Amino acid sequence: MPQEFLDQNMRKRLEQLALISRKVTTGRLKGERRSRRHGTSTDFADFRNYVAGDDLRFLDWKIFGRLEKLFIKIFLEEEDLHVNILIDTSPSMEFGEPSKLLYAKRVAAAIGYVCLAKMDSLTVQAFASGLGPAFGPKRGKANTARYFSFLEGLQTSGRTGLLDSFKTFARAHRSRGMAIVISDFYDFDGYEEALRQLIAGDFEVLAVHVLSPEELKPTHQGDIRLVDCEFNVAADISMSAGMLDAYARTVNAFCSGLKNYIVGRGGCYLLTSTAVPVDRLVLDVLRRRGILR
Amino acid sequence: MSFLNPWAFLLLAAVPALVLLYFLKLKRPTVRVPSTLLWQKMIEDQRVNSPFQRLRRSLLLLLQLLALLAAIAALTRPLLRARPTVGESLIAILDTSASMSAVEENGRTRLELAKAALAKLVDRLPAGDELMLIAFNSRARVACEFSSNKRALREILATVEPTDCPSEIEPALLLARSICSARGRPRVLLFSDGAFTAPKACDMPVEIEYQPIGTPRPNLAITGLNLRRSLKARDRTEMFVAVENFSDKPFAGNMNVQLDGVPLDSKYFSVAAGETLSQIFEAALPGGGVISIEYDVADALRCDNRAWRIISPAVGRRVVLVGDNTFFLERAFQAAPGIACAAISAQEYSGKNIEGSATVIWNAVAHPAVAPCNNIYLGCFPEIEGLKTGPAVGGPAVMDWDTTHPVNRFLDFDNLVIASARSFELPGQAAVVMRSSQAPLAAVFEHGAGGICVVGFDPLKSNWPLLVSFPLFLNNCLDHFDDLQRRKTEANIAVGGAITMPASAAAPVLELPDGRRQAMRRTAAGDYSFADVSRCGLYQVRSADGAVRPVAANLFDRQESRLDIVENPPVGGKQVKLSAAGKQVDREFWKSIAIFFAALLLVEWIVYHRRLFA
Repeated sequence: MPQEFLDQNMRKRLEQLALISRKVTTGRLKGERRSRRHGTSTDFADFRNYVAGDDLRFLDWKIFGRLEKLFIKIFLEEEDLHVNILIDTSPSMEFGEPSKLLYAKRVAAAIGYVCLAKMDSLTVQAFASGLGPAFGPKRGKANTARYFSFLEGLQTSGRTGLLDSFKTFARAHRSRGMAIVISDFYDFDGYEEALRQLIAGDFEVLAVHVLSPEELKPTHQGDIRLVDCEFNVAADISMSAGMLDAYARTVNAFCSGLKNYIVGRGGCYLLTSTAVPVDRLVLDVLRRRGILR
Repeated sequence: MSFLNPWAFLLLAAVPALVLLYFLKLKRPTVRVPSTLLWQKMIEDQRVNSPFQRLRRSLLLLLQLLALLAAIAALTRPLLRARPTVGESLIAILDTSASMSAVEENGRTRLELAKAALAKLVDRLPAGDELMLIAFNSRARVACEFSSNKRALREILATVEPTDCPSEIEPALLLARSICSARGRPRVLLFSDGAFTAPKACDMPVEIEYQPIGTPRPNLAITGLNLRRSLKARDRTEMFVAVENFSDKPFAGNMNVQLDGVPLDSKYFSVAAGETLSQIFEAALPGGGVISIEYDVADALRCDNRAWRIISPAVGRRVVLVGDNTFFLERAFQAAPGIACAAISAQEYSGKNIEGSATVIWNAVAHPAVAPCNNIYLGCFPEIEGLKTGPAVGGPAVMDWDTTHPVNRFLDFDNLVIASARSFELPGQAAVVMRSSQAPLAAVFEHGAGGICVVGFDPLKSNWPLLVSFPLFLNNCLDHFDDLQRRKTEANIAVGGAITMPASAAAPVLELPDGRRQAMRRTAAGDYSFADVSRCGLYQVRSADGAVRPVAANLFDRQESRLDIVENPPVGGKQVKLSAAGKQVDREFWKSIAIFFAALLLVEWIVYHRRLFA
């Protein structure tokens, strides 16, 4: 049900917010954000020599008065923001209570609603071993219902394949913008090459790392058999305090590695637990991190 | 260690089963995780561990195995020899006899070693245990009553001194047995070299724990010293010394003879290993005195290197022949030198003027009296209590004679033919020295102040006066009577005996061999006695009138001088080696193992939960 993702109160609060891009983006339609394209906004970008045919309205007459040379003032173009939300629908996202996938859907619903409300171009792409169902690009709140319905229809399938998915996505989407990846990043092949595809495609990457509390701090005891829900691989393990400590260190190392990789390449990383309420994550955490304003 | 239920060892088969289960594992609960990506490192760590490495590192398995073994051990109900938990009573019997004065290779005497071992036992005496100390040689005495006071025990132990007495275990065992009956079943510990005579009948109700003390030591000992007046000249004395070598090496040295402390003679001697040397000295000792003989050979035991003998002054022999037909008797004594012989008839005998050393020979007198000296009755019988005459025996043949008796020395009665004799019954103390098939023919015994010899036939009714055995028999009788007399007058006693003096107005003073003086105690009979003759040497009894009577105390005990270590001495009851652990009893200790088992389970549980929750 679409209403499950955002209630009216939440929608009103989200309508007050806007997604902040760190980069000057390049859009297709005029919007409320600066573009790399030179255009007619009030943001001065540069000067260049006048050539025949230039719009005389952009001549800098003050410089002409001092230097008797014609210079054209270049202004940045204000365009809309292309927001791409990539939702991991691999079976590992089914884990947790609520499931990480549902949590991801709610986060995506909130961010997507902000984008739609601000007339940003919103594209939502599900992925697992490859690209899955997609939504958009759409803009405007009129698409909210369809957007939520799309989210609701997302199901887990396949296996995690970050590289193939992101590679395909980057090639398919030439209009750069933000790439908000909501995933647990469990990929035995690693996340580095996959994220590099997005970064190389000039996407501003925001990684929302969703883990369940059981993954962050497992409570298993004794001799157990771990079964990988994606690969259905079983492993006997004797759970002990030392083992749990080692696991905690591994989780920290994994998250730190992911964060360092993304932040080091101009992206933004956000680790969240499914125990953290979505409204708090969106209205509080994302605002404090400067992602929403 | 033994087991009441050894079948429980079959449960050891569960040990490999436990190890097998550990490897096989029981069914584990399945936990689905989104990915094993983050578990990969730990899983790989576990996978690389080989089973034996895992086994080595598995404290839990070790604890489980220990617990299983402890449970099996408890089920077997093991028995352990251990000390009883209640306080014990210990009776320590300490040998203080002469052989315990033997010097060991380390320079310490056996008694010192025994006291050191006993002191160690006292030091280790557990709280609540009590120790009694019995010191014994030829006699036994309680040196210390039951006490748990270690200091007092050590002090009393230090006061136990060596003696030169022979060793007899029986009095000590009897004493210990009487205490055993009163104290339950105490431990009886024997510290000795085992050189003691076997008890006649002393069944101990408890085991005797024997601690042999010392090592076999070489020793040369004077085992005998006899003095007698020479047959040729009564003023000369023959001294027979027996020196025995109790070792496996020869000894040689000089043997010195002293009379009243003045050197009298000296001879070089050598004794082969294990041999006995009989050395004879002869000297003119008309006035008697104290003869001491000593050799200058160093050996392990000193007290048997010197011997003392008291010899009384030589006195002339006087024989009174009473009766008729004393021709052969007179002829017999004529052959012997130094004998004053007088013949009187029975009617002339009055009993007067006959000194105690004289011998009266009653020759076929109808009713002989008993003279207050030595008496020989030939073919007649005195009226003495216990001596009864019987019917006459015709032609009795001499069937047996006691060759060991002094009166039969050098004699042979094979050719003796007797026409008739009278049978007689003897007092209990009499020794039959000659007998026929029907009745005794001659007997010797002591009576009153002298000795009595009774011959049951008239010599004239036999061919005896014509045989050489006749004068020899009579002279042997005189020598024997002299010996009896000398034994009374010459105080030569065995160490461990008692010195007695007849009653007098004032108590005599006894001077011990070490110079100490001690007053003699008066006995119930009125005479004076000193019972603690524990050292060899010369004792001087000084009477109130100033007279000094020497008493010689000698060991002359081959058993004490042998200085062997008897590993299994002849003691009554069951004998075991002394163990430092003390008396031990079989005790079940499965409860302790069960507690250990429970403790292991607890530790295993703690370790298991620490791994899970710590």
